[in-house]
Amino acid sequence: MDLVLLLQRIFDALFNSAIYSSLALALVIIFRSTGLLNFAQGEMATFTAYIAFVFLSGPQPRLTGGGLAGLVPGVPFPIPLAIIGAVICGMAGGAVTERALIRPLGRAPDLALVNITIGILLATNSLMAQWWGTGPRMFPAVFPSGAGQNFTILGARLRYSTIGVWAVLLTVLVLLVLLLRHTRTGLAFRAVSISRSSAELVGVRVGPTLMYGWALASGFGALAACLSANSVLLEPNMMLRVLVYAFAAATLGGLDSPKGALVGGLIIGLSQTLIPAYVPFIGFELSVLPALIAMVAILLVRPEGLYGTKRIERV
Amino acid sequence: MVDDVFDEVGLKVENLHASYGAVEVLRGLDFEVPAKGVSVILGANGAGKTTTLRAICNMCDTSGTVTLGDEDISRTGTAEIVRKGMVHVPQGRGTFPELSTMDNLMVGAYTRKDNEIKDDVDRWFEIFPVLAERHAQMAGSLSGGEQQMLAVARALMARPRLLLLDEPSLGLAPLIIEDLFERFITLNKETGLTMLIVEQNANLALDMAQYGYVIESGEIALHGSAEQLKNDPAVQEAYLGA
Amino acid sequence: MSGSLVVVAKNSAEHKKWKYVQWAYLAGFVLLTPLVLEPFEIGKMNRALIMGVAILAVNLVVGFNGMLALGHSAFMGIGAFVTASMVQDENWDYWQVIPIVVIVGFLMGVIVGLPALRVKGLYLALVTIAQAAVFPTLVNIDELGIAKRTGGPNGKGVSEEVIAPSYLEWLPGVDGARGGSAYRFWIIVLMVGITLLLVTNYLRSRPGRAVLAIRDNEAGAAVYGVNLPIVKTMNFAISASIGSLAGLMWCLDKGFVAGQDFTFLLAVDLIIGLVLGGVGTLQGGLVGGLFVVWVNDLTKRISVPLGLYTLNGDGPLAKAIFGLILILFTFFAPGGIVSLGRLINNKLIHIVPLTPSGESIEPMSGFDPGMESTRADTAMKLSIAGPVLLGVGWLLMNVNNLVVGVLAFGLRMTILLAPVAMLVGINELKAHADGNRPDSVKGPASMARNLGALGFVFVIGYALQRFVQTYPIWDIPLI
Repeated sequence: MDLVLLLQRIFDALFNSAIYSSLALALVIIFRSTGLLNFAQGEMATFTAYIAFVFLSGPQPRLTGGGLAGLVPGVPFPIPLAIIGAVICGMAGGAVTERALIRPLGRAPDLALVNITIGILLATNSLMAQWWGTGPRMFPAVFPSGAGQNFTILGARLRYSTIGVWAVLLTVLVLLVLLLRHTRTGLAFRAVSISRSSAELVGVRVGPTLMYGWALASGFGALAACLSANSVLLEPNMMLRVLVYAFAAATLGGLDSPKGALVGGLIIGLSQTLIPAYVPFIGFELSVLPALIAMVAILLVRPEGLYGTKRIERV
Repeated sequence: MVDDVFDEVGLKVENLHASYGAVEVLRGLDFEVPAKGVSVILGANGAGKTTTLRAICNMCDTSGTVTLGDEDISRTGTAEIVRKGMVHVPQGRGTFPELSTMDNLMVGAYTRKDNEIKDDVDRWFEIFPVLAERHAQMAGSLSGGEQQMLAVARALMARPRLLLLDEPSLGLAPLIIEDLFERFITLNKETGLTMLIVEQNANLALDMAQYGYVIESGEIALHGSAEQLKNDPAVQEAYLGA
Repeated sequence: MSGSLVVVAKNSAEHKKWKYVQWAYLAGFVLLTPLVLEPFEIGKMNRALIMGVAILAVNLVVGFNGMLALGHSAFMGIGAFVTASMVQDENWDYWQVIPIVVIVGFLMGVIVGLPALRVKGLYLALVTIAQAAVFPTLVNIDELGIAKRTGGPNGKGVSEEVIAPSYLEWLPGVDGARGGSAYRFWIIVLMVGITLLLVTNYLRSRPGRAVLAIRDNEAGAAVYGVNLPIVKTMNFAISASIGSLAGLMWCLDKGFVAGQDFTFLLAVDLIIGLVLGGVGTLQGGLVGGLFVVWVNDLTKRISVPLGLYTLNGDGPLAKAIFGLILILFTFFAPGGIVSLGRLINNKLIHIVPLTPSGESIEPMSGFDPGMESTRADTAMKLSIAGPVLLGVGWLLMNVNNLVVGVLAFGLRMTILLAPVAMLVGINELKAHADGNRPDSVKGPASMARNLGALGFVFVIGYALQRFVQTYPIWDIPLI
């Protein structure tokens, strides 16, 4: 086995892993707090990537939203600002979604929850196609990712963009942990995810806290979409495929464990690249297969995932 | 009803109805809880004791008027009621098993924004020293009695004016129950905290309380001072095992 | 039910009449479809029926057994590919493939169901959606000759056309186009009918009741001796075999099968149809199938004139509408169209059950006294509503071509309302003559009867005209 090639493949896989982890993190936050699987997470994220795109392009009359963006002082934004703007928009969108579509449902059967999120998925997807077309858009690279922009470690190339994405992911993750562990709101959020009724009895306003969770999750989704929009090309179905991997990652790590999302994303990202490379039976177009098999297997053997707590039913 | 019996009324409940779906559990309760005193609600299984407390906190479908101090809270949300100074310790304690003891206490103080929270933690650690020992432990791993203490301490962290306790003795060994109730009495005497306790253990509850109500099938069947109730032949037969 | 227009005793002559009316509707609908519609529209109808069967399969698991399994697009795909392969490669006939497809579907159901049904709720949804997502790529696997059988990414065509034999040429709509979609329509209708019959009987059988019991209370069912894993898996397998049957029908109808036809999006369509039609109802599948296909078609047609973005005529509008429908139905009509239909039906007619001795359990005459005098009026309005809608539709169609199908809508309303008005009118007149309802108004009642009858005649005339137009009677070969 060629070790340099193996290392190269691992380095290549790391970029995707980070994206999967971020989106998986979004899924985990929503599952923990609201107890539902958000099938619309990918589409909501893609939407924010388009918002970032509009911020970057500035007031162009032929671009939907361009006119609106023209009202924002300072557009076109530089990339970091555009992404921050998109993340903020995404958080607002997540909060609104929770308030308008999830909270009124109350304790609905699982099918209703699935329906709502699939409804959001379809509507958002078509809205994007309507506004921005189905053709791919060029989204600028957030981190230098051209030829030669890499470190060389043991003969394998580690791109700056991979390092950048991981740096962002880890930073945000640390911030999230600090938020959850050391702030009042974070404590309330943890309390709500354990028991809604008990949280209410200590005076936690459950609704706003859940809204806050959705905002956080959507922020993560937005970040994942903006960071990957350059490499997978911005188009309405961009995150649909990523979502499958993210679900696999979240399930693998445990649907209620942020740490699990990180590890799950890593495992899924690596297996997606390495298994097709070393198992001839599975070609690259079947690279989704190992991820899904891993997901189903973990659900059967250990439904709570690698790091999740044993809590199967929606509480 | 019990007009002008108490110098100061902590909680006043008028014509309280509550139902789960089509089943009406409470059928028009009227009662008052004296401020700074300990009152107790007695009743058999299924009489509607727990529902009474849940209804006061607006945790089920209710109609009627609930007045805390001089404020109408019948339409106030559960989380808001905590901010008004009434805290409910539910049956089965309602601690957060996956949070540490310390975090449970901190979340109890969620509604407060002053900077005496740490002092309060120390204070309840003094009263319930076992909690101090286990401050880093997950609440789920505490014993039943410890969890009950934690639940009470957590409720007290909100600095309530009125504490609702739902069967604090449930599932605890007799010695621990006595210990716990003694602490309640001390608490009441030291801080003047108003308490409304739902209890199956009528002997113990009437020893501690100043006033009591007996609920039967969702209605108040009897009420009076703890002494009166203790000497009431019906109560003796039904609840005191005399 | 208070406020019903007609109150009849169960199994009385009137109730039977009402049942005949319902069956007549169904028969008329089925008969008129190949006559009134254009060939490509018949194709859409075929597609709708196929979707209906697939949704029925999903319903069997989700609606009747309470298991959130949403990946039946994969079973459809399996059925379709098995059919394509057997017919094309092995030169079997379609009807010979049916048992194979049912058995393969059943086995696949057991294989997937045994492990999958160990998880519940949203987790099962996740697993089955994964199944739907992975299926299109599975057919491309080169090993085991799979790709050869399925045609891989290129898909598999069936070169043999489905042609009506000469002795079936008399079927409505088939004339002159023996290879056309009308003949396939009749085959599919037959298969749908048989499937529905079998499923109805299955649900009334002992295992069927166990399936329902599990949905209503799993622990309770187990306590009463229902073997949970076996019943669940068997039900799932039966559902899978019905899904495969839908796949066979798909292949039969389209003559071409590709992995890209059976993606996650098809699974989503099935869910939409399920929710739209009615979760846990037998008719729900067919209603849902009709709506999914026709709403899709309608939105495509109006996307271009509305100036919306389209790609190869496939605009995103349909998805937006479906997304919206899904959300709205979940909030406001969780029982789907079927439950709405039942609501309306209850407004029209109330059937009072009888005691074994033949007495009605509720008072029949003088029932709901507040309604009496208004009934005849309402009936009259109903009888007029259909033609008015027809007129409005005609006007709208001439004013603006955008509103395709409004005329047809008016016609359908006439078809629907005329007999109801007639029935109510007759009922009121009879009551009046019997002196049961002295305040019932005679004039409007007889008018309702007459107008209703007129509407009925109009509808029959229209149907006859279309029938003769598309299918000259004098050409019917008698043998």
